Amino acid sequence: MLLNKLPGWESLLAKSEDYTSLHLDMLLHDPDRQKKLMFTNLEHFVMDFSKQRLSAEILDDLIELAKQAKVEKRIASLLSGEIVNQSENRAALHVALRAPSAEACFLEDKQYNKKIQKAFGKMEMLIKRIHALQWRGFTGKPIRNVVNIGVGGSDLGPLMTTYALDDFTAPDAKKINIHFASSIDGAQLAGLLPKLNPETTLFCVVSKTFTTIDTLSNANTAVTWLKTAGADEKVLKKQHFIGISAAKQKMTDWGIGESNQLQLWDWVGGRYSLWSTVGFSIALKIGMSGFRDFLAGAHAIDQHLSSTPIEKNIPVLLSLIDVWNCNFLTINAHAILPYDGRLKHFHAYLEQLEMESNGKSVSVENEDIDYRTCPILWGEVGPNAQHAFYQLLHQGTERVNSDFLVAIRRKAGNSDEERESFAEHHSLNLSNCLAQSRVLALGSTALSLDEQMKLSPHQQYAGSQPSTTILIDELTPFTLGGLIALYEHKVFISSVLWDINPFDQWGVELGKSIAKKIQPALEGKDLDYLDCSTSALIKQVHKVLNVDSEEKSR
Amino acid sequence: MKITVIGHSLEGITTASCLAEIGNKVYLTPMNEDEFQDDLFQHSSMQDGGLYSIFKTQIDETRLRISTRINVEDHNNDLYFVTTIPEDKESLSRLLDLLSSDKRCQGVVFTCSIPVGGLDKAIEKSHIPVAYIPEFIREGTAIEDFRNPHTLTIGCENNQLLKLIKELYKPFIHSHTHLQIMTIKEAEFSRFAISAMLATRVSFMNELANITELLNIDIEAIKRALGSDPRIGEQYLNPGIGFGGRQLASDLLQVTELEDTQADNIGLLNRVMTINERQKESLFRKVWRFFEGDIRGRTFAIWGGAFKPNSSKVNNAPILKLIDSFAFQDAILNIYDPGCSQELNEYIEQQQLGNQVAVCDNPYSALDGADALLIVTEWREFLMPDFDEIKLRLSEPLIFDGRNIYDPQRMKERGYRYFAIGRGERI
Repeated sequence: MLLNKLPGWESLLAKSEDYTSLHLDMLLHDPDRQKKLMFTNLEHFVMDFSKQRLSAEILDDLIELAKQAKVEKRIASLLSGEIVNQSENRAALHVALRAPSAEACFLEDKQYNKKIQKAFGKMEMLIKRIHALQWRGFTGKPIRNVVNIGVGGSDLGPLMTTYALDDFTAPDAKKINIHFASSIDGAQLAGLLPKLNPETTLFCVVSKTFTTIDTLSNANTAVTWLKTAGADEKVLKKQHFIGISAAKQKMTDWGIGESNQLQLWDWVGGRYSLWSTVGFSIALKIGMSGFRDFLAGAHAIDQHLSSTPIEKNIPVLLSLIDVWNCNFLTINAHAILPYDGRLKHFHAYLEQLEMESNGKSVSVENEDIDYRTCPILWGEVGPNAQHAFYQLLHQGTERVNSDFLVAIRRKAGNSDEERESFAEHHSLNLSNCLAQSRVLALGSTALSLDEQMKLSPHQQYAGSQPSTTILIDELTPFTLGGLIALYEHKVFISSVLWDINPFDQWGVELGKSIAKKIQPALEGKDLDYLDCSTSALIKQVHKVLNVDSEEKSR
Repeated sequence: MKITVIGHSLEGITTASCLAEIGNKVYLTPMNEDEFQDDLFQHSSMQDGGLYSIFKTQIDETRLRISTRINVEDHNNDLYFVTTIPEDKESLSRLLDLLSSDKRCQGVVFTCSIPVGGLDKAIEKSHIPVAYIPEFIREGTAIEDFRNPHTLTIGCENNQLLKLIKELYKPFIHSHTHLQIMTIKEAEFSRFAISAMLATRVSFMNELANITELLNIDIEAIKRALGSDPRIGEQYLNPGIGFGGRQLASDLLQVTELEDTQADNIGLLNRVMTINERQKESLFRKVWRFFEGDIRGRTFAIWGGAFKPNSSKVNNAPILKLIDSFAFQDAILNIYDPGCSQELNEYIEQQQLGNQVAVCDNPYSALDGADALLIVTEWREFLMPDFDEIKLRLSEPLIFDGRNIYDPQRMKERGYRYFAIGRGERI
């Protein structure tokens, strides 16, 4: 049912009017507030919603709304493997990927877990060979560099995670460098290849369909590069490429041998695929046991989702806060602000997860939706963003909801002196994190009255920008796995409330097919059905390219 | 003199045997009682050229006795020789305390490999004079090296003890022997310096060999040119698949650690090690390239395994890396080595590779059905083998020679495809 048709919608809408103009300062002096709006029932995490512009009563009403939207039933459907992706008639079984065994898996059909474990077994074998420096390139030298070629879910998750978990690099992985290339323009490969030795570089081509043009064009460039170094095409495809895809035959046709193929399945969505063999580069980095910890952290959240009443169910609460901000307070921007340099790529990962899942305007039943769905989401490592877009958060005209993420413990440094120095960094970091959310909420009222009196208008902070703070014990493979799963499930619950299908992405298709039509026009073919703007741009391109070719022929 | 030699090692057995042979009364004991070996005749070092017979003679004639522990009270020694390194600094101090309780003892001579400055603290605390003679025997030629040393370096700062050592070694110092007297620390460092120099020469040659392969010229010609220059000399200029052995590698490692303590270290000796490790793989890489990476299930015959001819040891030897590399690719190996079968079998068992790697007792039977022959150690019996029989038994006439023991032109005439280090066919 559409969100605004739920019985609780109207009364919440009425109540929200009070909160639209209410300053957070009015709410943040109630000592009982934490008891109701700070949640510590999830191991390793503390969720503080008390800087959100709502009361415990509103939260109760939102929970009621979730019940009306049958959130509990829909969670059960997701976990039990029912078809939840209606437009593509598929289940979304990413949760099955992180179940450590068939017994722990939520699915009735135990075959899935068997297939998954078999694929992980093969992945482990390939990783073992690379770690032992026994994966050989065409001249027999051991592979030292692995380049992950993929785009979207085949890039963002592995990139974000391998970067975040660098502290947990497996001892054998220290000799292996992992790189990522995704962009269709080839710029990343162009920058990367000159730094690599073709004899010792392995490419991991990740594409669910093995037809993604972005990925295949990069893979073909890699083939050319290897060939130029003297490798025979048949040999190099055998020794320098691993394929990860659901399309076995297409990998084989492209030239990747069966022994170098890792299996993926239709029932794993791209943006949920880092838990599958697409997580190859993650496991290569932190070892298979680290990867299993990562999966276990996500599995712990799956269990929480499955067994916790929705009043205390963290992904449900996270989602309700989003819906409250978006649909009732009309705050349509959401900033992701990790106070941890290791989470540098986290916002890019979430941008895909949230906006590709919920950036939609028709319901599951194909009705037009007349309320807002996914907000615009962006982010940056907090301390760096403080020197960039925080100005807008503090003194701009846009209302923004923020997520502050920070690890309580941070171990870094090799010597006592270094550790002490890093500990100081971390305490600075923590205090900045807490200060920023406080100033966003309170504005100038964070100062004493005396101090406030001395401020001129350009020094004033309006405050009342809502935020959620997520404290993590420590960033480890286990807790990062958990954090990602929290956001995944939040996105799913929001989709239930908004009544949309989060598992398809029809909005990315049209651009791809139009690009195929424009390419011939760029190569000189006449196309009469283009709009005037695009035709004029193509003409400008031709003009420059014609000059280039004339110069070349001279 | 009455002497106790501590250490059931090649060094210990050789020193004890050679000192007994010239008339001394020698006890040979292990460092710790639990290291005592019942039957020293079964000791792996007994294979070392001639050691067995001289050892047996000295035992038979009772100048050499075996003792289960260091017996200070009864032995009444003039000198103690320490030929294996004590576990740590504390056990070194305890050892010196024990030895100094021997009232007759006039000094302790260390011949084991000791980190530079490793004796400093113990000497400071001990009342007994100490000397250091860097180990100068080599595996394979231990007796010959001891009886007829080219250089004898003695690190000793006590005149009385030095006099005694010189007298003891007089029968072994010949007109051509270079006798070097220096401080203990200088003696300690000089042995590392020699190891580092030798290793550097080998890696230098291997680096050149890789370049001559690119230039399509024969490294052996370059080696002759270098060796004939009196400033350079001929020793340790053989290109190959890298050096092994317990001593050279561990010595080099210690110097690289010292090297690392310099703030502006460029890491020459680290490079020497890296080149050597890479070189150990060179034969595998040639095979890999030849078969275009398709070696799964193929069989290869290997002649040689010991880290050098006339040795039974495989410590740090290229064969270990070759076994690992081929086994990882699911290839099958048949290895023949006249000296180190026992150690090879132990390694294979330890790595659980029994179903892929076999040790053969005949060089020709190792060849049956193999896709190629690889030469890994230049034992004399491999120098002029029956090439017709090799050809008959191999599935293809194909040889990868890691020690450059054959002539590429002659091999071609015999109908072989022949790949070697810095010579032969290029891949």
